[in-house]
This record gives sequence, C-alpha cells and structure tokens, in this order.
Amino acid sequence: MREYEILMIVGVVSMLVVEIVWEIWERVSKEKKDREKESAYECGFNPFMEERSGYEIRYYRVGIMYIIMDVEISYMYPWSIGMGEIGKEGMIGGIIFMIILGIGYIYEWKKGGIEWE
Amino acid sequence: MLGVYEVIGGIAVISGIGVIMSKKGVESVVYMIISFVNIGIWLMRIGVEYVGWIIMLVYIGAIAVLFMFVVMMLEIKEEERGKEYKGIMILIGIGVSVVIGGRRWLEEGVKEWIESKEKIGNVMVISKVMYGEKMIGIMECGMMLMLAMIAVIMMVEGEERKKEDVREQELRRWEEVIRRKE
Repeated sequence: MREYEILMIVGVVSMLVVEIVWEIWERVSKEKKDREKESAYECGFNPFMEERSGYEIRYYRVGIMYIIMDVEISYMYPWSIGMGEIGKEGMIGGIIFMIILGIGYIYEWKKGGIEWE
Repeated sequence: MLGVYEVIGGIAVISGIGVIMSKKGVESVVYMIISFVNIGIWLMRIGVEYVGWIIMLVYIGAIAVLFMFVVMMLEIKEEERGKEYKGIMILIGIGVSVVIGGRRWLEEGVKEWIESKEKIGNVMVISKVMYGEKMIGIMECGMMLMLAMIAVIMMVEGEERKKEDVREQELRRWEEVIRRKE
C-alpha cells in the first residue's frame, strides 16, 4: 500500500489544482448570457430546429470493438504472466480462448466491420 | 475516526445512488465514473491491484466513454420520474446488497486467496485460478465476447452502399457512356 501513497498525493493535488482554477474562473469571469448569444447562427434568421446532425453509428461500432479487445487483453495478461505455473492445460486453454475470439474477428473482417467507409 | 475503506466505500455507494436519482443523463454517467474510480481504489486498497486497474481501464476508459457517447449523441431528454417508486427502489437495492454482501461462503475462498497472494503476487494467483480450476469460465467469457462481436456487426450492418471501382471508373471512356444528341 505504501507505494500507492505517492499516487494518492498526486491525485489529491491534481484535483485541488483543478478546483482552484475553477473557483478563480467562477469569481473573475463576467458572463452576460443573452438569448441571441445562446442561439445557433442561421444567417440572421431565427433557428428553425435544433442543430444536432445525424447519428454516426461507425463511432459506436469502433467503441464496442475496442471494449471487446480490451477485455481480451485483460484476460491474456494473467495468462502470459502465469505461463510457467499454469502448465500445458492452461496454455492450451488460453490458445482456445484466443481461437474462439479469432473466429469472431474473422467474421467481423469478412462482413466489413473493420472498414471505416 | 473513519478509515479509508469506509470513506471510499461510502462515496461509491452515494455515487451509485446518484446514478439512478439524477435526472440528466450526463450527470448519471459522471456519477458512474466516480463510483468506478472508488471501487477501483477500494480493490487496490484490499490488495487486488490488478482487478482494480483493469476496472479503471475497461470500465472508465471504455464503457463509461461509450455511455457518455450514447447520452450525448442520442439527445436523451430529462426524465420526469414517478416519485412514488424512488423509496421502494432504494430499499430493494439496499436489501439485495445486504443479502449478497452478507453471504458467508464468499469469505472462505477469499481467505485462502489472500494467504497465497502474499507469496506469489495477485496476478499469479488470478492466472492460476483462471487458467487452472476455473477454466470453463474463460471459455464461457470467450463465447460471450464472440457473441458480442457478432451481435454488433449484425445490428450495425445496414444497407450496402454502392461502391465504385476506382480502376473501372478511370478506364471508362466518356464516349461509351454519353451519347450525343444529333
């Protein structure tokens, strides 16, 4: 636990710095909100509708794929560390795990899930 | 005098309640991040550093980002929840956590684990358990991850866009395509 004391100090100090800067900003800044200032600019006319654009599903797909690969890495790290202790069965189990996920990757590749366009 | 356990655990519980009680989606995600941070710190405090760091990496670095992405992109409006259900839901949540947290059988496995962890380190213990006696769990996790990948591709797959072959496009001569009106 002692080795994490420094991390805790760093975390607390960084939060303090952020808090101090925020408080200074709140006290010093002059903000005069206006209806015109807050609304979207549409060449001088009043905004017809909200300015949100269409939803791009590609970003969500990339996020999901990243999560799956992250979880896979988190399983593979103890496997690699304990390779000497887990024996042949453990090694084969890890390889089977990777093969199962590899089938998923091949499906994704063939279906064009990795393509951006 | 409150120890680190109590403070961190208390903040995690309070922020967990804040996830369900806040009306704005973004606030819920922020409370969720705070809860995950405190759970990760708590796990590191009791000596399971690897799981604590993985929770921070995977949950905060990926899942919370995805939640935030969904909340911001989908324009989820503020909800008007029925006030009569709040108390009952909180009671049910406390009851379930007391029932699960008070189970004695959890302690026996944990003691043996903690004793062996001191000698060989927590990652080695995790690997011996994961790839030793509980390997069936790893296979099940692999199947679930594969299912998740396939499900995402099936759900996201839309209409096939027409793609132009660039070579064919460059080689095409306009005389073959356009007919002049004479």
